Amino acid sequence: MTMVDTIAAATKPLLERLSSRLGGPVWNRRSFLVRTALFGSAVAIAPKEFALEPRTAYQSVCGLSANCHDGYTGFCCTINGGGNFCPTGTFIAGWWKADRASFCGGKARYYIDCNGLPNTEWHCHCPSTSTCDKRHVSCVQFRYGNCHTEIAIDVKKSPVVCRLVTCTPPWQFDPACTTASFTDQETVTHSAPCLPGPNASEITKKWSDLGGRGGEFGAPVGSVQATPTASGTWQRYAHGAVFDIKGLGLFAVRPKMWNPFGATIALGSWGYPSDDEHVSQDNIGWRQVFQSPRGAKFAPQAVATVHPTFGSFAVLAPAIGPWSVAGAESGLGYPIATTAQTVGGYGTYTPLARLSKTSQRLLSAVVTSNCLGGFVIRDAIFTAWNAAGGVAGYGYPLGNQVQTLGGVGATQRFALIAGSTVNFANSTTLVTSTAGTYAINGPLAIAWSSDQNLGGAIGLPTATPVLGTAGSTPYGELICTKGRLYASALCSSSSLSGQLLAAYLLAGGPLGSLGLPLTTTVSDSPGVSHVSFEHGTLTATPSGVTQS
Amino acid sequence: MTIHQGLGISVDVPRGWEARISQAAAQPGDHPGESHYPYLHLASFPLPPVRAHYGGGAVESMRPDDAFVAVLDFGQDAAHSKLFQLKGLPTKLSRAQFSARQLQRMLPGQLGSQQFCTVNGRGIVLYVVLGGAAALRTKVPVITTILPTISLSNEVPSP
Repeated sequence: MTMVDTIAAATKPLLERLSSRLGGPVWNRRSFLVRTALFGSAVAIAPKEFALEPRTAYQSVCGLSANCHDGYTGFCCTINGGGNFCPTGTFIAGWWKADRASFCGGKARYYIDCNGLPNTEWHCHCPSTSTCDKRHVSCVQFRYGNCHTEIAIDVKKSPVVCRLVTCTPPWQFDPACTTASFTDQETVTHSAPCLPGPNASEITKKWSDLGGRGGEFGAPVGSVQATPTASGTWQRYAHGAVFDIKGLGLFAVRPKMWNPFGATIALGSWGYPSDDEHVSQDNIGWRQVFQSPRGAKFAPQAVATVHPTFGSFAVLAPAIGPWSVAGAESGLGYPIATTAQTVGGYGTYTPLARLSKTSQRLLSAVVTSNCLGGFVIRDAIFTAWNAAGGVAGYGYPLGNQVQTLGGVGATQRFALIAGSTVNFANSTTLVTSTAGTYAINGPLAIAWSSDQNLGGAIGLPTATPVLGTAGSTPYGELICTKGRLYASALCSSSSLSGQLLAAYLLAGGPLGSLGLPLTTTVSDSPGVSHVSFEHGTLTATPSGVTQS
Repeated sequence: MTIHQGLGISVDVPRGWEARISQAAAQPGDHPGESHYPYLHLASFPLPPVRAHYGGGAVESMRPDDAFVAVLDFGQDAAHSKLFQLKGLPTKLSRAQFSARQLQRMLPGQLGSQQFCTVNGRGIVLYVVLGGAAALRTKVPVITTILPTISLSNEVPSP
């Protein structure tokens, strides 16, 4: 038996005898619960002192040296409406720890000093509290010195106003704290009724670390609940929630996310938080990821975002993947509406926006379909696609937009979906460049796309395709930067440029004497090429064009 | 005087004084990343074996004529920051630098002084507790003779 065991064994009967100090003779159900809880806390916090010194269980909740003249500073939650955070006008000035703390499951417990800023007059005083935490306030002119070393204030104007406690390491709690560790084991029993007692749940400790009852979360609502679809528990608070999920970890949904999304989160349809809320990579908004169980693992189900201009919306699976690949907030921007099913239920639509340097909204979207997958529509192509009616107009993207040859433009192909059928035959290709954004359909689109890799020889469209009839034959004509494309039943793809095109146009084009092309431009030998038409042939040589 | 040294710290200890150079060991409940740097405790009274960095556990038993000195290393992160901008360990202490409120733990009669500085690229705190006003006259002059003998190497054991 160790010395500690010996003391514990010796004090146990004494503790039982002294339990009569817990209150008067009347024990109703409520007072029984309160008193037994206090008794348990008192024994866990300071067993020897509770047993051997004349004090009540309630006093023992606060641990040793809890009186105003014992030399220690009071806890912030005692003077701060229950809030375990630095009060207004103070800053985190330093920290120390006590090891093997029952308050933190036997691990280190951290004490963080809140020192006053000099724009307030701080008066050393004993707190007006009915609790047992009667430690002094704003008295000690001292800095632990391991937080916010960029602040150097005359310590006489910057006393320790109060201290907060966390089980979270201070350098994680506030990145302005260093990892330089100092210990004061004398303080391991120090506590207050507004702080979690010993052996509190991980959820309660997290809530307390984030401010507790007087903080942004407010009071608990109901009791801890088991999660419906994963192994874990969660606790709802007035303005937030904390989840402890096996496989994901312990994470909180703070008011910034809870207020707009709490109702959805509470339903469980997004799964559970897999990180804490944090500033997005672009340093403009905030984000938090939620994952739901997929077999033995978890998969992202929602990315909740808050943007100061666009508001609070979420990108939901399956749009998360394409959005993330495109750079998420830093690439496409933030959702300006939460991902929703498209009409007909063939896929999803997530409108996105980011602000340009001149504060203009740059719009884009992630569109997914059940059979094609998810792709991004952005910039000028998005504008044209959106203006034409979106999925009801040109349909769903068949891929992401790609750059045209030379990188001076971009193109993306779309198709309508009906039922489980994708109408590939009547797909639309949108092409954008400095000349504008144009939609090409059918054979012309196929011809342009196959032209030496996206208009390589013929260039980019400069006008909307012309659909006409030559004689009794329908045809399409696409004017491009380096020539023209023709498509008809006579020839699915004919490409004309240079002097051959000039001669054809001089002859009246499709409605002229030559009629529609029967071939594309055929190269016969270096410098010599020809095109056959319904009513003749044009041959180009270095000396000019001849018609036969 | 006897020279006391270790963990990159060296000090000449006057007769009747006690010095301890220590470095806290990592504890089972430590979180990854925690840094434990060496520190020096000097006292005109017997130091108890268990002491907090800022003297908790020792200062409670001080008599009015006692003095306690802590020199604490805050590592390179703190060096040259605004709080630690003073270059070099102070070598003099004046009575005016002591206050009944400049203490990590305010105990009746005690006086304290705390100064932040950078020495050899490391943030350092000099913290002195006097058991009472009597020590201003008897111990501060002694401390003033000790301070110039304290050397802090830039090669300290890893935290």
